Amino acid sequence: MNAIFNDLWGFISTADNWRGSNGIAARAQAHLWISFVATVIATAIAFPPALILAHLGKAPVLSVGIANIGRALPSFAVIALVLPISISLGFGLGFWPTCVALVALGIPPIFTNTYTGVANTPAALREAARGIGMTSPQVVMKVEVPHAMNVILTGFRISAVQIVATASLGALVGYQCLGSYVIEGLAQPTRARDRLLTGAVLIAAMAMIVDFLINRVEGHLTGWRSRLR
Amino acid sequence: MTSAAAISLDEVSKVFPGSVSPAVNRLTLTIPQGQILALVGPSGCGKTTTLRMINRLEEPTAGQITVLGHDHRSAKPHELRRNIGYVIQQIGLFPHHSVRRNMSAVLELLKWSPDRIEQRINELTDLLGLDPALLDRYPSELSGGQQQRVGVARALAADPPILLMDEPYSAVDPVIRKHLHSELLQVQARVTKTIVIVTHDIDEAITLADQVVVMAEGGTIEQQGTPEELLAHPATEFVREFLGRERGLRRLGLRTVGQILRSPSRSSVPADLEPEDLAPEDLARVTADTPLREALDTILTSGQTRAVVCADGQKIGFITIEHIAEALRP
Repeated sequence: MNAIFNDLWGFISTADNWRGSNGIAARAQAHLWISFVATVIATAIAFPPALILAHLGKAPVLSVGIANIGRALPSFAVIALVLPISISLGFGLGFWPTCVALVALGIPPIFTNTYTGVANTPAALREAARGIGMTSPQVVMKVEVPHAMNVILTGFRISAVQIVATASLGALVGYQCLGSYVIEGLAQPTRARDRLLTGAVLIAAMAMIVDFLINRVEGHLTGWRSRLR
Repeated sequence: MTSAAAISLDEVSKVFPGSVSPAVNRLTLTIPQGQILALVGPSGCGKTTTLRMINRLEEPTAGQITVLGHDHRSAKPHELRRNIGYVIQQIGLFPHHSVRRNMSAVLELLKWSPDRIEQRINELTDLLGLDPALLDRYPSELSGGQQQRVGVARALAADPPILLMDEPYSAVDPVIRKHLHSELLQVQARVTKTIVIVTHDIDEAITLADQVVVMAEGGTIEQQGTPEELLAHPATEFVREFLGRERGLRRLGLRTVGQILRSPSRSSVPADLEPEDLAPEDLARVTADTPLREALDTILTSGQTRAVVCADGQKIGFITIEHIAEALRP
């Protein structure tokens, strides 16, 4: 146990390992960047239709279906599938095939939670909002979204955390990220155990930090719920 | 101007999609300005649908609705609704906003300035007897009665000439309900709105309304009249049954001792009042504000046939069982 910790600490505490284009700093940054881009795209794709469909009370079956597809879709397979397409379209290796897989992974939690949260707005709330003279967009933005904010943000958080964790797969198709340490470590499990451990720990740490930060935002935006009796 | 129509419905029908029989059937109704009108009837009589057609939460299938002289379809629905206060049974306060922001919801839609909103919130707090300390709480921290008051405050915020109330007191317990009834009447005495209230409780209608409209299943009007007219002369068997028992006693509840004293002035002794009538100390006492129903009960409980009427501790007259019986005579 101690040897494992020493390996890990030895690698992380060596300043040289943080520098350069293959250093921890660069790979962590690339890891965050692809996660960020994938989360933004997934949100842009999933959030608006979920909002509109839930407001109109349409397609409840579709929302469940999308959730199930999401669970059944292995990201590894998506990368493999997208890789030749990406190459033939000129988007190359690395970033885009990985990003597509991450977006696919991120869509279902955002869609499902947004849909469920908004669809579960109490009828009386919607009725009151319309009754006092809110337009449909106002009912959505001033009542339904704030009321469902905790559920929506939970979906967003699940997506983001899964994306951060899964972005490691990008290393398999040549995207330099924290997953690259795992790949390098796996290639030489005895000689490069320090790299394997560093990759695993940093990926886990990054996922946990993202989870924590979004949780904080969630608590801040839905403070009124803590005062519910 | 109190007799002018604030709202009128002309041959209005509503057939819901997928339904054969109409929920509201060729209903014609005039709602006078500045009065409280109650729509009562059993569930399924279309009273709520009728209310919801006024602010276009439901669109009529046929007929015309005029609100303050304009066809109610001449403005966009959300603009119409901002000028019509709306209170529902479940209240529907926004749980994610403070009481203050709930009360200013319509004002924000109307883009009032923060200063003006602040001033209006103070007026409303005063009008509805709300504790200003509640303004920064969330609705879930309020009691049912307080939530109901905030719901009315939100509806009255923009000072709309019309207030629609859909079973507003069904969810509160009977004691609080009684309080809220008298509060509504006090508010109405100060602001004089045209109020349409839907209820299945005929006693609530009698307590609150200037005009009561009894509706029957199938969305038709059985009878419209003052509470007194309804109780004295129910037009149909349906109305008679709906009004229930003790119609005479309930009519007595509508009038006070002061209204049948020979002399309307409370300070002068009526001419026909003999001095010896004022003497007996064993008679029960009532005041001019006492409802006749309560006065009758007081008399019967005292084992006598009359009671002394007092004002400020002074005996100003007496009231007998005969007086009370006379009040019910046509």
